[in-house]
Amino acid sequence: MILTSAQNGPVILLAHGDGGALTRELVDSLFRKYFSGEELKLLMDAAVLPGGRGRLALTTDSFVVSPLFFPGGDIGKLAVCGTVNDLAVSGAHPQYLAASFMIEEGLPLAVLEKVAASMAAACREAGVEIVAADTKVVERGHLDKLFITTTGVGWRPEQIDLGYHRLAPGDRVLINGTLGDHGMAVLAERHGLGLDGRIESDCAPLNRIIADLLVLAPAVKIMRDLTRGGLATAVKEIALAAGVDIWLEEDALPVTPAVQGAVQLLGLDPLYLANEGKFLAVVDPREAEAALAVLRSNPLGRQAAIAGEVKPGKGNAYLRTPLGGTKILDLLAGAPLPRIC
Amino acid sequence: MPDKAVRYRLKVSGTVQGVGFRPFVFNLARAYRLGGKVYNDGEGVIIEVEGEAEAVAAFVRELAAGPPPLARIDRVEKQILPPAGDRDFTIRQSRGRADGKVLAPPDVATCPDCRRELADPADRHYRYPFTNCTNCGPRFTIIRALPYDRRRTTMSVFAMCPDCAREYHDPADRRFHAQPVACPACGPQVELTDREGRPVARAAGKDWPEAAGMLLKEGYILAVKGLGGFHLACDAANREAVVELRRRKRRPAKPFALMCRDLATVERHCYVAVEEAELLRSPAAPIVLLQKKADSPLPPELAPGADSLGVMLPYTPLHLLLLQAGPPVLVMTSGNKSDLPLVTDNRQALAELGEIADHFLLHNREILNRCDDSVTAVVDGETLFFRRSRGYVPQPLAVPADPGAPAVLGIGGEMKNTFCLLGEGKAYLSQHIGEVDLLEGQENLEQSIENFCRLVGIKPQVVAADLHPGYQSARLAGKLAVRLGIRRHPGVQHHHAHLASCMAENGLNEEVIGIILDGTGYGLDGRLWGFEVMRGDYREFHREFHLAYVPLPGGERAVRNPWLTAAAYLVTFLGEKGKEAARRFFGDRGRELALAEKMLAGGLNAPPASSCGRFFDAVAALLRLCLENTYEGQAAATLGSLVPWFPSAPVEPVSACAFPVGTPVFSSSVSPPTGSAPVFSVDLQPYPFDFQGVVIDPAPVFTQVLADLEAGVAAPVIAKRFHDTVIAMVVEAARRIREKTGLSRVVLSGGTWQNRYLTGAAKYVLQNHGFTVYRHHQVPPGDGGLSLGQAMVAVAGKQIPG
Repeated sequence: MILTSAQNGPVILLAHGDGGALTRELVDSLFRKYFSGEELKLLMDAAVLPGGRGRLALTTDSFVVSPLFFPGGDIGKLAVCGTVNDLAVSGAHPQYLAASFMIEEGLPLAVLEKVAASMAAACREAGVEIVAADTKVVERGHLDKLFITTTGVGWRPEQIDLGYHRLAPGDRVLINGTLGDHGMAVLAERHGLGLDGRIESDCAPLNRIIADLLVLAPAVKIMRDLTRGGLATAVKEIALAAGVDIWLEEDALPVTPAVQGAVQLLGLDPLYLANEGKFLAVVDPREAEAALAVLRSNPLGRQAAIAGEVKPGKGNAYLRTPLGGTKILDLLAGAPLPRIC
Repeated sequence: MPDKAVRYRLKVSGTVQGVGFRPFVFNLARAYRLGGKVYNDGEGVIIEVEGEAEAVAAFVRELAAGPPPLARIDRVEKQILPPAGDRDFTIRQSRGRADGKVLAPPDVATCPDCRRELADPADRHYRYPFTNCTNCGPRFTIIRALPYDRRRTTMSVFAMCPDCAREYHDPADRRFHAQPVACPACGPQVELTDREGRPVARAAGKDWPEAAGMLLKEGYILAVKGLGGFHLACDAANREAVVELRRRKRRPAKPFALMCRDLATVERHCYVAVEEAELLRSPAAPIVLLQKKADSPLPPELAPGADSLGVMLPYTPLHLLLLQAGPPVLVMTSGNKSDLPLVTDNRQALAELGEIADHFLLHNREILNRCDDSVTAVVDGETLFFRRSRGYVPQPLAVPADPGAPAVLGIGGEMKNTFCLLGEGKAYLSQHIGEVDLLEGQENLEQSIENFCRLVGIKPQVVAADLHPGYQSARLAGKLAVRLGIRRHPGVQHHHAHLASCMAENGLNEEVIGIILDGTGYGLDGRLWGFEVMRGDYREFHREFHLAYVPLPGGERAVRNPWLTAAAYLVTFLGEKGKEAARRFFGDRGRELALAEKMLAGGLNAPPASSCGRFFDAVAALLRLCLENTYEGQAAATLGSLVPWFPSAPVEPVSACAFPVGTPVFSSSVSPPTGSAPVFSVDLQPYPFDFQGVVIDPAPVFTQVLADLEAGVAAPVIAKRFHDTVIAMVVEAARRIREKTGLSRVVLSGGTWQNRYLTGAAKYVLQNHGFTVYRHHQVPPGDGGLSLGQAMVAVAGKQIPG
């Protein structure tokens, strides 16, 4: 028995999460349409997977985003790309995902279906499979529409050696494109800002461009995806962990005109905005140009840039501005409060 | 006579080294035919004097009564010694090491004697740009360490010629032990170069003042190395040069400082009260903000939208020569790129100022301690500091702190930074450091702290900073605490520091009412404060009343764009009517306004602020005086330029008046002035406002400002009523605190008190209501004085109120 709301068509009921018939029906009629991995078809409690070559990489991440759909993506695509990218920047080839859905009672099935379809498309793009899944439904008001947790595994080839210990003064910091698109797109959609120029989330799986990079520029020393906290936070964390200073050049950082215009109006800093299809790679200076060429030859790296350089130091991150001053970059700490007196 | 002989040992502490104190003692002792000796040691000047008891007593009296102009005696300790039979009086070599009791003197403007020699073709110091003596010259800017001695200054690389050495060693000479003494034969030299540091070809055959003067007259921009750093100079009467300098320096509107050839030149362009003339000609020779004469031919681009000009007189021989040969009024703005520290080094100047200056006037006396010009005004007979730096630093302030308490470093704020070392009951406020949010500023701060600690001989045991989580100065405090192994104070609330700063310089120790008005500071609730009527002392404070919060769309963006703050006030406090008004006033901002409304509605990057500076911004924007701030406080300064110029000379107090809240018009009459005091009518006409509990509601103010604008009321009238409203608000708040607590002493602190009408009028209105009012007169009311308050609070112990 599927209740129908006037505007939304069929909606999620608490019973969809009770493990009974409705759960079965939801799985059969909705999820299996999109998640067709061989292992998932067995409907076992755990997926038992063939071995790979190298070391096992495992990651998990929960996704909550308001609104669920935004230009350039949605929560489903985010849930796949986020986990794929976490594996990819660790040097692993992502292979399997598990997805756990927490759904608010009353969510239109059409919404869930759209999300599932989007996840399937993202999996195809990334070349990964969802091999385990779970669904829970909670009472109306106990969560906001839909949360998704994805867990991913992949294999990291034995020869891949990534780590803070490898960083050395002179190393270059590369990024694969423009900053702040995802964060800005979500804010604009959430607040109905109606900004000039279309701003789309950069949400994308990075495993292929990273695989290319690791093959063609093996001197990559460490990688990070530039999600919450943005480039600035990632760079500061690396500097702290590696005990070096990292200097970014503001002039070298690509930002689309639409995002640039928006952050200026909103008083935000693109260096601290989230990205969902961007990563940084620290590369030996001798390989930097080659690595840049690899990135730029990939559709997800057309605007790749050498953003900065590693210098001897004690965990500081700096941004050299075009006017000649040097900003000190810290970890993102809540909303920025004016310091001007 | 021998049986009547006495011998004293006098230990004199204060500013007694490098100010001609020993020659003064020497000559005084000779005048009384006394024997003995005088020498500098780490603790001050030691005098042993022997002779007839009456003569010795007279010597001691005169010593204390008439020291040389630059000396300041803080204490004389007397010890009786057995007579040793000394007949002669001698000056001995300095002894011992500095331990902090000897004060390094501030830099001193060229004295009349040196000026005379500078113009005397027969004198060997004729036209020598570095001449000085014990009464004037560079001090703080060239001193590496104490005791103050030539070999511990940047003059150590210049070996004295026999003539200079003779004067230096002659106790009767004006240059006796004048450490930076120099002449054309042995001292530093000037060089006029192009942007690449090559000699200027066109200057061949001319002496440098002539050549530099010619270039300035032709409209070129020069970078001029001075005492504490570089200036960028151009002919102030040449509009094109001024506009070009603004363009190159990326400084569209902030007023330029001027240097005038002499006082007569100043008076051609500005009104100069006696007190202002004294200040201009004082040994510190600061910039003084003067009321501009309407008929001054100087171009308005020097200080767009301002009713004043910041003027100083030449304070080094180099400046004197330059102003004599060049235009009579020069723009002399600090030589730095925007937001970066003042440039002090020749090579750095060529690198950093090469895009701004056409030519460089360099010299080879190294500047060790960067020191910007001080900026002052005279209001109501009192000096009001905007910036306390050259000429004053490192002179300490006596403050009511326990002399036995551990020494403290107050690290200051984020902009207009100064830091403060507090030890042995004295507060050493640093020179202006400026903005420290950039790495360059922070390095400057760190380096300056190190130099300063050495110069005043204080090793801090505790370091205190602001509570703002984004302040780089606070981060540096943490770093210093670790590096020096000292205690990090948990933090001093911004406005508590302001309150403490004003209490300290006025010697107050008991709880007071603090009316703290400024731009923004981090509050204990994590929000931005800045319109605070509090009570407190050094240990704790209680926020009693504050202006209602308004969300600032875009945070710092709203601070830079007063129209956004105005829109936020209208939308927040006047509902639908306010929205309509915002659209009417700022409809030309189109989508930006729509966006701001969405940010306000959705709480998107719109931090709430209770700030007097933003309150001023909003009204300035509604009057369309200033929609965008290109420098800090521009909107508030522009609004302040519309209200009457509060007199520079002391004003007679006015009679008491009643004070009803919420009435549309309130006025107080002024008793007729007596004697020669200026006539100034403090006739308050505030807009209505409401108190809702502890919150001051500005809604009625905006309703009335809108109505006045609609009715075509002139901007100066609205501006004055707005100023009066702020005064009325804080006076009413103070009255309520007095009712509750009985407190009646009020301190005024925070950057808004740099507004001369506000600072002048508020004092009289408060006095009329029976309050005793204390203002800043030695330390800036703005963030330049913050560090003093931080240090005082840290010394006192407790910090955060319950």
